[in-house]
Amino acid sequence: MGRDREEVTHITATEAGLTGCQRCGHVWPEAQTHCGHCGSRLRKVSMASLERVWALWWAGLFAYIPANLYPIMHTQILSDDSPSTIMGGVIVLMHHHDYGIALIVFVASICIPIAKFVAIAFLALSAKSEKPDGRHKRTVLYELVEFLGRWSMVDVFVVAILSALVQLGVVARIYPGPAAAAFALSVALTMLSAQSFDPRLIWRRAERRPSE
Amino acid sequence: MTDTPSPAQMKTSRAKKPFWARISLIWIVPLFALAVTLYVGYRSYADRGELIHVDFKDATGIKAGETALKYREVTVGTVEDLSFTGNLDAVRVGIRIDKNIVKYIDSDARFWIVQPEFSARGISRLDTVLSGTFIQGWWDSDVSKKETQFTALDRPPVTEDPSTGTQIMLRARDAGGLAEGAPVIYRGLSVGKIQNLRLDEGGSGVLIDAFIEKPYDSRLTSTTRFWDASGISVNLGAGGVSVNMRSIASIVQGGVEFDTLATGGTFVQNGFPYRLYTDEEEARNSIFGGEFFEPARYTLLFDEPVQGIEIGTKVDFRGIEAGEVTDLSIKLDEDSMGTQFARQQIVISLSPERLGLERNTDNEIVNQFLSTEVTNGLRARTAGTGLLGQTLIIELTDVPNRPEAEMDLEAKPYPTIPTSPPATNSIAVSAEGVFKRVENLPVEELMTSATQMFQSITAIAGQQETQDIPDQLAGTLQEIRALVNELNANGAGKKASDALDGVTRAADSVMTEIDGLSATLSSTDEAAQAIAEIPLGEIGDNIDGILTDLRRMLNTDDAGQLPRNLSDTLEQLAGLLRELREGGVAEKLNGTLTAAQDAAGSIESASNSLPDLTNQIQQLVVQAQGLVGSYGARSNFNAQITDTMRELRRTIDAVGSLARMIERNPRAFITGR
Amino acid sequence: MIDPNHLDDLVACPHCDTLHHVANIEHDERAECARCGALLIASRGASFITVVALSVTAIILMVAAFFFPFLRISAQGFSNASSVVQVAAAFAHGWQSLLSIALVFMIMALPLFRFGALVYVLFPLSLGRKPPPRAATVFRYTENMQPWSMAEIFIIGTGVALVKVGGLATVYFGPAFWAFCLLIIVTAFKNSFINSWVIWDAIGKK
Repeated sequence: MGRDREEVTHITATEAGLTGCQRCGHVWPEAQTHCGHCGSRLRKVSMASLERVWALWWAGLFAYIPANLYPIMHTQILSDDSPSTIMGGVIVLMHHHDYGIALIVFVASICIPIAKFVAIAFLALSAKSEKPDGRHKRTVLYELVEFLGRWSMVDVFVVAILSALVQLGVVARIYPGPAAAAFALSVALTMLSAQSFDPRLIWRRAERRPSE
Repeated sequence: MTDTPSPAQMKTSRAKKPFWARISLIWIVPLFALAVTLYVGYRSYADRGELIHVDFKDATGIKAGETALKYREVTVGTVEDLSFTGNLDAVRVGIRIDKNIVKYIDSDARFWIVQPEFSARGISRLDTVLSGTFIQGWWDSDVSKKETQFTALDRPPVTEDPSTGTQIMLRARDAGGLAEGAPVIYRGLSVGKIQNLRLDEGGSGVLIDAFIEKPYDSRLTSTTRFWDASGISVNLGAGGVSVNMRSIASIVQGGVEFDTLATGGTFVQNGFPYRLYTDEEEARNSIFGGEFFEPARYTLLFDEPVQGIEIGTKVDFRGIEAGEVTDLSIKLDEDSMGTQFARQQIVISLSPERLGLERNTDNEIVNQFLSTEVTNGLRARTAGTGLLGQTLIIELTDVPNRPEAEMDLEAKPYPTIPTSPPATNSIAVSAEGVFKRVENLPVEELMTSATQMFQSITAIAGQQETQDIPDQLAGTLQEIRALVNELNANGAGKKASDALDGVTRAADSVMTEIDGLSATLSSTDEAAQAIAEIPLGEIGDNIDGILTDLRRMLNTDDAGQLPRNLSDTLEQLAGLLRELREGGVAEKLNGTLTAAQDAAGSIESASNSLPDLTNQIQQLVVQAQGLVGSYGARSNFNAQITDTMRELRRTIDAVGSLARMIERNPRAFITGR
Repeated sequence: MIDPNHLDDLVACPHCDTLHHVANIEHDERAECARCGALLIASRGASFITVVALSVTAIILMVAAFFFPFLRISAQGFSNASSVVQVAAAFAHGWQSLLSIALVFMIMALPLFRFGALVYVLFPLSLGRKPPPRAATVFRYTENMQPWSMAEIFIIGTGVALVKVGGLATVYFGPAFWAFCLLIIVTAFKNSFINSWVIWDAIGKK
């Protein structure tokens, strides 16, 4: 928390009566709506942005439910069609004593998406308070969520590649299930949710007079 | 400033750096990427092979971008597009052929579709149920002028690789029970198959291509004879009954058997023509060799009606069998007064060999030879042969006191040989003939006893052989003895003529029994009983049972969707079975096949998931094998069924092991991502 | 204290909103936020021309990746090949086609657009000319698209898929696969050479 003590010496753009562009960093008078430099819309640091985060968060969560209930992939061996859900795949792997791979699939396809939901919810909830506890850690968490969010899409790509590749006549065929689209949608919505989160809320502090 | 001109100052600026100095080295990176990409692109363009077009009657199972062209089971090309020929007569399939193969594809290349076939010979190419239909190609290794447009064969050729055996041509009077793809059998082994049954140009016979695989084709020489071995033949002989059934396939599809009867023949080339005899006996005894050549044919016109001549009746040339009757018809003629009269027209074919000429003598030379003979008195007439002259033959012989006549060499369709009335059947001649013929009887026991009988009639009754002959025959011989006694005592006369009638009657019965003479009647009885004991009914019942099981199994509820390929195949099977039923196969077999067709229908409509199917069929095969085994080791039927079952099980095992292999490797597929 | 007319030399940290004076940094230096530590400016000494060249390389590789064969597997005599386009079309049935379209954007269209936009914006700058018209808008779009451009994720997905299929079938890599691998490396290099603030700065100095 040594660094937190330093913060008194810094002034934020908001405190200076300015708005910073989140794209290029330039600052503009509060009245300005668009960055004169890069043209991005200027967003003020506001709790209102959390609404968007939550809306997308719920949408993502809803999409995540069918993504787990429906089969993500159908494996057809001879005429034997076995649909597999995400969790079902893990269980089958366990049955075949492939514990290592089962663990990897479990972490990558189940833990990480759930962790993302939890992380975004935590960031959004904790942003409401102005306590400076663990601001650095929360920033790191935010960056992690932003970074990892896209990588969940790898599951969708794997299904696509397997479906395109494993088309061995009637011997073996793989085709995607409805959960693949739901999963992709869920990933996209959580990405949007994370992008909507304004990290500046983490560093928000109690109202100070401008230009102290 | 404007009024006093002064030298201008030059405008100066910084010299531009040379072009190369302004280029950053970093551009090597994209240039390199571009070069590699263009190179790879060029390579894949240059290596993509050439497009050929093959016209198919229909494109069963062919898919653009998927169906492979295979040569010796190795993929050498892929179907690229499907279109129609200009008049919609055929499907034009564009095939992209590997670059290093395309040069061999010249005018000798042949293409055909390979798909699973269910036939009486068994199941073949079951692998294509899984892999899908493919196009098979064949071409030789000669590089000649390239072709890009072909027409596919309607069906797979007899052999895809002509270098793996010898292809010969069979010429038969009719196709009999032969069907496309029937086996060629050599000493019980299936050594090839027949195909492409067709009428010859004149429509007077049937041409069949046959392919004999290596190494059996080395058995083919110019003295080889072929015969139709279709169906079951039951022979009653001295050794009891022999049921000769070459294979299940030969019952349904027919079959062709061959044997090389004499040594010293020359080896044959591809396309060598053979005569196909209707049965083994005819093949072995025929005076025409195994090789087929168009024999010299002649027309005989008889004024008076001739009875007892039929196709196949022998033609003797001065007492030696030299040919046979090949056609009988009525020919209408007009005499000088304009009245129509009918004459019997008999077409005979002669073997030049038997006329004392070379075997392949040109017909012209045969004509000349006969023409000279006719001028010298040769005539055709009917004559009786056999023990007492009751079997008619055609005789070419010198006739004394004949009217002058010449051959009509221009006559259509064949040259005519002048005829003369039948030989006079005087009692003396007949009697003399009777003795001669009895002496010539082919059966040794009878011959010995008969010869002895005529030499020493009284002694005959005491001889051991006579006593061994069954009562019926002994009676006959007694009648003969009485006749001869009377002949000896009274010479020729009316009595003799009456007696002769009796002999005729007796001899009739001798003739009918003559083939089986060596066999005792009791052994014939045994034989008949043995036939009666063959459990045909039981076999039929059991087959019905198997089919019922099969049907039940296929109707089970957990039926999944069998691949479309399989159902296509089964449709084919159903088609085949329909064909077979219409093909006039024996009634009992017919019933069985109807049941099989029902079963095939069930397979089509309802089907099970394949791994399940595998197990059940395997159990069924085991069951069926047990059943077949219970019939004992004696019949070919048994071995054939066992083979078929083994084949079926091997196929099922192959499918099953693939399925198991995939199931054992779940990690690859099942992880649910 | 803050002159509203001289805001140009001020920068707000996008993470914590803290105001900074723009630091004049030398090559191979980086400037971080004094409060939260976020990276604000980095200059790695690479000229724009390097970025442009790498982007051109990436475009060439992408074109190769789209049109060349991607992967082929064979097992038990059965084989199947797939191009990248076919992979994207894997979902092209019914309503799932929307996902196929999304896939086309994520692995093909967006990366291609981003590289093209970089060349468009930076090539004139690298020659010392003025930024091209609407450079700021174009570059802003590329920045917004950055999270959705997933070529590198796609190639990782390929790796995962191959691990799964590998035990069952033999896998043959087509030129498109190698092009994609190189693309990832080139992209990584490009990213390490440039920092978006530097480009914004360059666009801003009209």
